Amino acid sequence: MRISVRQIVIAGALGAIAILLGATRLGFIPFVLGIAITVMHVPAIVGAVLEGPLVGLIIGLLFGLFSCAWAYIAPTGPGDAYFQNPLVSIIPRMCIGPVAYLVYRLTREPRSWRSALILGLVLLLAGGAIGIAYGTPTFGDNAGARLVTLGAALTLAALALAGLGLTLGRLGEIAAIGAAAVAGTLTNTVLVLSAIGWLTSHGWLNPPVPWSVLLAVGLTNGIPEIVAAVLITVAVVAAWRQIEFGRKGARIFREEA
Amino acid sequence: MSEWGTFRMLSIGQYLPTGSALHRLDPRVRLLGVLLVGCALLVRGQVTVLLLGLVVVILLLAVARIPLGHALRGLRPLWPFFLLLLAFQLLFYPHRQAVAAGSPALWQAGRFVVSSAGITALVALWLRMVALVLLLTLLTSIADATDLVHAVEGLFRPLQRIGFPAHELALVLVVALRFLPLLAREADRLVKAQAARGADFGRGGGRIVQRVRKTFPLLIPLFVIALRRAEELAVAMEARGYVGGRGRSHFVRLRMRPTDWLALTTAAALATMLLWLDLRPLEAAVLRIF
Repeated sequence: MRISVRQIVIAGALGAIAILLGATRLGFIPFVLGIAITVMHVPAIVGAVLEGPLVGLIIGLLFGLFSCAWAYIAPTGPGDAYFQNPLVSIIPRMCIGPVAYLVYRLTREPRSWRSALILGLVLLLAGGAIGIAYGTPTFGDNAGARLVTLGAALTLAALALAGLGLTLGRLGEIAAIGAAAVAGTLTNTVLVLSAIGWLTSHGWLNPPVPWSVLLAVGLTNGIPEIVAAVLITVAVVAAWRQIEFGRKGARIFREEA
Repeated sequence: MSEWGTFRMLSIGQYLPTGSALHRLDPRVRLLGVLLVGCALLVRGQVTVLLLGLVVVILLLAVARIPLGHALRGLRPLWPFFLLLLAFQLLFYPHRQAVAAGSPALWQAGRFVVSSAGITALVALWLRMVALVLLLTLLTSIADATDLVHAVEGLFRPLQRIGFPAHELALVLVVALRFLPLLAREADRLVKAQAARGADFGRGGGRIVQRVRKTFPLLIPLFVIALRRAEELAVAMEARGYVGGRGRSHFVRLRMRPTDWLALTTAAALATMLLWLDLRPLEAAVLRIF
């Protein structure tokens, strides 16, 4: 695949932002109960939306490499023990950009039959996952894993249905950027947590953690992270492309009425 | 905001030009050797093998003439983390199943059991982490950023024939490394500028939307500045006739010398030894003595 000078440089610059957000803790927004949500994956989504899937993938790679190294150098919580494994910290992050780009293109330029085909495949995949989890002995008696699969499949199906609505409704640029942010963040949360769950349940990663804990983490961190990613991605892309929407003028310190 | 002025990059690793034999190796060998040993340590879970790996890493540090005190300083922020891991392992490890599977119980109080398998896994985790952090310190001490970029490009160059963008990937790394201090300075300036206008980031209540919007005055200019600078850099590079990988000559040419091959073979041998060694009989023998 050819990659232009512009794409190379933008991948480097946004990768540097991802690293900076992590190293300075700027990328963590404190949330209730001492949980901090992260927006470190936003550069990968922004890169994918602006410059395509390859740029998103490279930014994700830089972000992953950094978070893997950082888990060794300056760990902050028990979760960092998992991020020391590149299968948790790098591979899932490389998928953020391509997925975000795919969703962005599908919603922005809906070619109805192609989008419908891809979303239909996603629906089929969700159905298949439920079938495998409950109909076959893959998970044995692991009720937690089944529950997580069911939850993930239902989320995926709901998203695919929402995507069908978005694609067929042709909601335009802002909706497409928002959809890309949702998809990118979900890719990050779901793939990282399932990599942890999968590796620990096979005993390849320690300390072990129950699936129900992972599900709880996914819900408490995932949902605010989606909200944050959508807000920031839309604001950044709109500011860069000078898309105008909503109120105009300075609104940085206007009191919220 | 409490962390004023701390936006300067934290020092990730220091290059120590001691001019040792390891420093004089081809950068590709330095990176590949460290990666090979690191991967072996990442895969293994046996305490004795990891202990041996730690000894290997300390020997390598000695060969590189890096003061051990300097290397050990990097471990200091890890202590609270080790204690956290201990708590985590005590609470979440399936001690009951391990005891049922034949692992002796070290401590028992009512329903609470601590199995020796759980503690062994924890010690392995600690040892692996210490060894890998020391290995990372070794890498950053014997190779600076330029060396690493040359190494990445050199290692991936054979893949260029099948269309893998090795040169481009190395360039992305260079750009990211050059942009980091630049953006750190911009972030510092933005924080101070907004704070001077009375902003307070990340503090105070509010629901998630309000909290995220409080970070807007910082994050959005940061993104826009980075994108604008990237655009300028791309135009400047194209204006100077930069055309990318094919047919480009290099200022630094990497050539493998006999010592490089020797070092690479040694690293591969060490990694293979760490990968295949099974020290369980030795462990059992030592345990029998006690």
